Amino acid sequence: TLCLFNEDVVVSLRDKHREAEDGGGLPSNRPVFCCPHRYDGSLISDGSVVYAEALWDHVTMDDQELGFKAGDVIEVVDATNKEWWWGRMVDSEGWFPASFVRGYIKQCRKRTDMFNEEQLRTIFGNIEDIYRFQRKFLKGLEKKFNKEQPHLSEIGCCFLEHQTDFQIYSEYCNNHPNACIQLSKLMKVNKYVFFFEACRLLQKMIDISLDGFLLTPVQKICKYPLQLGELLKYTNPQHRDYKDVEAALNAMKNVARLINERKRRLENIDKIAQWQSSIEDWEGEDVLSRSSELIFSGELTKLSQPQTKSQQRMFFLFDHQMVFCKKDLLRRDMLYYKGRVDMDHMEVVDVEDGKEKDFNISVKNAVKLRSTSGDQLHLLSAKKPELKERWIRAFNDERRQVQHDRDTGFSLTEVQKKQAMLNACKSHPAGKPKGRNPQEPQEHQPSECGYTSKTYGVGSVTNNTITK
Amino acid sequence: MPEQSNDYRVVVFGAGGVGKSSLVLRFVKGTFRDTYIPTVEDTYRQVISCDKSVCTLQITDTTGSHQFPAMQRLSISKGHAFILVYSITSKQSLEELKPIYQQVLAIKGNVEAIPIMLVGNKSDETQREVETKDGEAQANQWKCAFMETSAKTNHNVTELFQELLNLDKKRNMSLNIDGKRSGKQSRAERLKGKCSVM
Repeated sequence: TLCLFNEDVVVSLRDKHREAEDGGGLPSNRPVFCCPHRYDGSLISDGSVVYAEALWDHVTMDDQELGFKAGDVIEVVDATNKEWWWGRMVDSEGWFPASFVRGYIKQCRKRTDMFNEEQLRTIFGNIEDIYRFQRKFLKGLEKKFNKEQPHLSEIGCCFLEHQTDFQIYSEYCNNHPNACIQLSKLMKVNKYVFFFEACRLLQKMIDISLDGFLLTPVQKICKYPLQLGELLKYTNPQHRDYKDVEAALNAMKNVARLINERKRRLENIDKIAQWQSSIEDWEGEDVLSRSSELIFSGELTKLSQPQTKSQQRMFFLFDHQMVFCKKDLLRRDMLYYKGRVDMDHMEVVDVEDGKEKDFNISVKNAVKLRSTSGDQLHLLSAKKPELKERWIRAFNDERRQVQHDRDTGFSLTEVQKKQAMLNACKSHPAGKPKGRNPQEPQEHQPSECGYTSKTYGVGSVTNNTITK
Repeated sequence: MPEQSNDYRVVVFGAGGVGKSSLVLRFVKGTFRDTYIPTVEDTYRQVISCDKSVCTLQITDTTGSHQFPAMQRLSISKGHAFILVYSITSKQSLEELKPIYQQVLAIKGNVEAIPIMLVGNKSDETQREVETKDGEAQANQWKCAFMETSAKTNHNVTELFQELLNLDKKRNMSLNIDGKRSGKQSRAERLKGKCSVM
């Protein structure tokens, strides 16, 4: 059989049960049909007429095949075969290839006129990596599955073996909002709506839209703990797999927790970028270049050697560093950058109330920050003993966070940081000095960010409102 | 031509075991199972007639996500309407909806413009921990609608989804009447497009 697709000539075996190969040197422009009016797997079983609209040309020299042009409407007579449908047009009838191209991504790649690589990467994220991993994982499960006596299967180890591999879902989840934005942009154009719908029909996928499918990995990764929990519930503690299932449950809980945490951190960096751009007279590198989480913030009285006069400052403790700012005398919601402390090289010392030797003054509710090199010494005092306790806890949290990030290998990419700073700049109306305009968006929105300038005055426990 | 209506997205939230999936399965497939099977499918589609027109709903099940709020936010941001399910046999399950409601509020901003239904499921059960009036009070406080259902006896299940769509329509209408702001109007138009007549 000779079968022409545009200018390419391909010899195809006329075996309708042959599993179609993807790619494999076949031409890139295959006809794809847009949306029969009604399609439920038994396409034309009840005798009603079904039409398909061709998205691309199908040129053929075989008189048993139906040739047509993009946009032609074809009456689908027989769709019982997976790869070849029998169709009818005004003056001809014949076979046409329906579904020997697979899935969304491969279809999209073929349409370089519609999608570039970056768009595809944004929409589908690393779903192909996930797919490859899941195939490997599935093979592992199948190996451990006991067909004769299913209840004797020992599958716990599969999860334990692959627990770190599951972390690739993190990248997928983090990218998902971008995917939604990109997709909804494209879906404003009918061509794309039809295209995706055609892909879905060819794959005989259930009738939900692409964004529904794209959410699936997000939903799936949350479900492993539930399913393992159920499995554990029905596994006898004497069962050989009991310990492993229990460990698998914990491992998958940790995976989901880690992915959730990374997503949250990514959301927070936008708020941190916005916060920074609301600060006047900022100096030095961006907070985001080293930090990604606000741990605690509040007002403290600061005395740093060799100064002799203490100052009221707003402190913002991030992972790795603490930024301090001065409030505007009149506009209490405006802050001026004054400096920062490198927490990686700082020792926190609890100071007892009373006379303090280093500074030779009487102190209350104070802590000292001493740099390990010995060249910096700060005395910070809180208004109340509870607040001091809270700050000491925060300093401990900061160290724990840094350690945890090191252990789990958490870091932001340069692109993520840049994007966040860019977004924050955009939110400032051009030509207006930042921070001075009371109409400024981030000050008046009921922002999720607990530390926009408006909220500092409320108290020092502002970080509670950051999304957990 | 493809239908464009398959993206009116209803997101179902609730603690584990309150019957989210049972409700959805009862609505979509008309079946009920007594044994607990953690959800296998993630998204369902159902056509529903509503006020003489027909709407296609895409129903997102969020099972398992209630401990992972950042993941929940991914489902919330694309949702058009929300069903918050608790079990009338568990006060705790109603408690667990509070942070979810807060999330919806934080992401969607004005909750009054979004159809939200608080649902007390398992109304057939006799060991009640949450009285009907407690559910209503919570719904009042949240300014959302309220209904008690039973997926088991098929009580109020279709009504639940129909009412959700009615909420959407009512909101659109009131937005159209006093809606001078173009943003709100365009939202109403957008929604109209999603409930297509077949």
